[in-house]
Amino acid sequence: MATFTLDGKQIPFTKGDTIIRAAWREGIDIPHYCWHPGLSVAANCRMCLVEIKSARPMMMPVLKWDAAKDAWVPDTKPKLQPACQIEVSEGMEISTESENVKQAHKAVQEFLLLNHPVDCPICDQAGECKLQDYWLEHQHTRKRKHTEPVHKPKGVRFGPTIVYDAERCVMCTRCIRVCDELVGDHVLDMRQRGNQNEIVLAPGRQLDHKYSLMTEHVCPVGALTSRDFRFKARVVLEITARRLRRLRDGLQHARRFRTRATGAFTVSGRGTTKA
Amino acid sequence: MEPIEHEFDEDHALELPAEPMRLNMGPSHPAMHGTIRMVLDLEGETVENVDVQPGYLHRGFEKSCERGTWSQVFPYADRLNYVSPMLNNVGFALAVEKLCGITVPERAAYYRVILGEIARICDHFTCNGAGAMELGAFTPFLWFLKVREWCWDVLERETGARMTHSFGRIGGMAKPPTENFKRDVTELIPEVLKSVNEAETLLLRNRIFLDRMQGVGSLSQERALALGVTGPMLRSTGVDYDVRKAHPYSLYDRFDFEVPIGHDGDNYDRFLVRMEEMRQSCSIILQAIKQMPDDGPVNSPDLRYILPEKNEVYTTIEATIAHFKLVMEGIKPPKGQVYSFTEGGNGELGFFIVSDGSGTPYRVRVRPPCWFNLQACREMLIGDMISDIIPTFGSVNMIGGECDR
Repeated sequence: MATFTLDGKQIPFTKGDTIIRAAWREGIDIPHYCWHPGLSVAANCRMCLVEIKSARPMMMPVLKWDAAKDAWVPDTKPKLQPACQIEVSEGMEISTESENVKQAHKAVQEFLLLNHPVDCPICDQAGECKLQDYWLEHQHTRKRKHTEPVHKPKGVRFGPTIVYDAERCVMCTRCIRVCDELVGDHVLDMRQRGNQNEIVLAPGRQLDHKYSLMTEHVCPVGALTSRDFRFKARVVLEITARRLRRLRDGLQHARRFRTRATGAFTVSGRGTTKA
Repeated sequence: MEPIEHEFDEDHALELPAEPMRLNMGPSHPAMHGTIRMVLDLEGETVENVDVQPGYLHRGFEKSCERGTWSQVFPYADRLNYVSPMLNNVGFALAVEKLCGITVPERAAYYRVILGEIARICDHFTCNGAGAMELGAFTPFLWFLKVREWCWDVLERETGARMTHSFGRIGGMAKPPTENFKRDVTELIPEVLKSVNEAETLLLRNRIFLDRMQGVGSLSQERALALGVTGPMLRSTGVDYDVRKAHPYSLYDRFDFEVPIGHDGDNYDRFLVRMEEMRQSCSIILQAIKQMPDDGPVNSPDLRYILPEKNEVYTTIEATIAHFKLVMEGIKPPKGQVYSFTEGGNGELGFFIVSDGSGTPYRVRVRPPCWFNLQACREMLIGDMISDIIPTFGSVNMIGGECDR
């Protein structure tokens, strides 16, 4: 089988695989928000940027501080590529741990948290939130922007099952893609741009199709929450119970369910992590 | 009550061999700390053989560490050598910091040194004072404990607890020094030195004390090294091994101090080495007080290991996430293993820790100095009189909490 190198490790792939998919199949998780194995590629969160060592560097030179010369000197910089979009080719050499990549991960993560509200204590996602996980893994610094964050609609009722919080949203568009690709119902879309970005309903519609809870399931952060489960339980406290008990139902091995001593609160399908 | 009348059958009297006599000492004997049992074979009053049996105190310290977070190990570490808990706190913190690759700010390092040395003084006070008391000299014991109480007052003002402070943190200390810290310590040290001198004048010209200590419980240098003995007990045999000098950790390379050594390795030498170490600790403390900066942080700025300030937690998302992660999942040192050792109250206190990258220690192995010192006990006791067991075992300063295996 054809292989490529990821951080010094040989990874097999089939033709047409993207870097992130080939790595995911091997159980290696390249950080990402917008990519989902069951959906099309959006490449808009920029969290999965990797350095392809065999590719050419950026055309434009950059200035780098040289302490020995005590001056800025021209330097080249590798062009980082989104791992979710680049198809793998034989013998490709990829790094997810180089300084440039680390810096990019850190910057993207800091950017996503720029206007994020201080919601962890009341957020249903806290404990299984990618913003939290990646902060610890890739950023772990304090806030540098101390101005008022941008405010956007909170607690918007999307339909009978889903509530949307625009301030928590990282605009990965997974929910839009679920509606488009899985259901074929273009009920969600994005409006405005930049930090005014917001997911909105089609005029006169509600998010009321049969797979509406899938949008909550694929949401990597706490932007979409299930109305049934809102404010009922803290996920992270129940992690042991979740692992110990497995609930079998019509969905086949639905593994994650949030519970307190009184029983299950919600049942959800398998996550996107492999195995 | 009427006397019980025994009718002895002279012809069939059961003959028990009188010599050697097998005698159990402990674990309920006060000198055995309730945690050690000695099975003695006595020839008259001379100890022919002795089997030292620890294990009457078992809390499963190392196993307990494997189910909480890394930060939750501190209370367990406190209870290893509960006479100098601060040294254990710092020892464990240094081990995890070595694994994480972080260093604490200078102010915290000085703070640790000063509190640690006060703890060492308390440890030696307790050992030497109790040793004298066990020989009938109650006055020095009470004088020592009086000053130890003043030491604990300082520790209490700083940490909130006289013993078992749980004051260390990975990447710093729980709180910065109090406003009057330097004044309190500066006032304490002369009292310590005074008490050390007083006790020496009381004891070192006392015939009974000298007879019970000199030449009793001797340990040769070779055997001490072979058995892994460290601390004052090793130094009393003439080996100048002190982790603070041999492998300076924290700030110990900045202080000017001597490593006192003895030459006979008997009770008397152990007593004197501890006395002199208290003086050296005082000298270290005074130097540290002079060098310690008056302000500055006592915690590493790295949010992966140290909780952020509350006002930050309430206002910024980054600090909220840090708080959430640290509280719910605990700190996560990188995968790997590390051995880190410090000079505890009784010798080399080592922590071998293994991390699998999760919020819970994979393994915490302690090298408790008392465990190794206790090994030497058997050889030291054989050949001496039964009454010599008390001062000898006392000067080994076995702390049951550390011998919890």
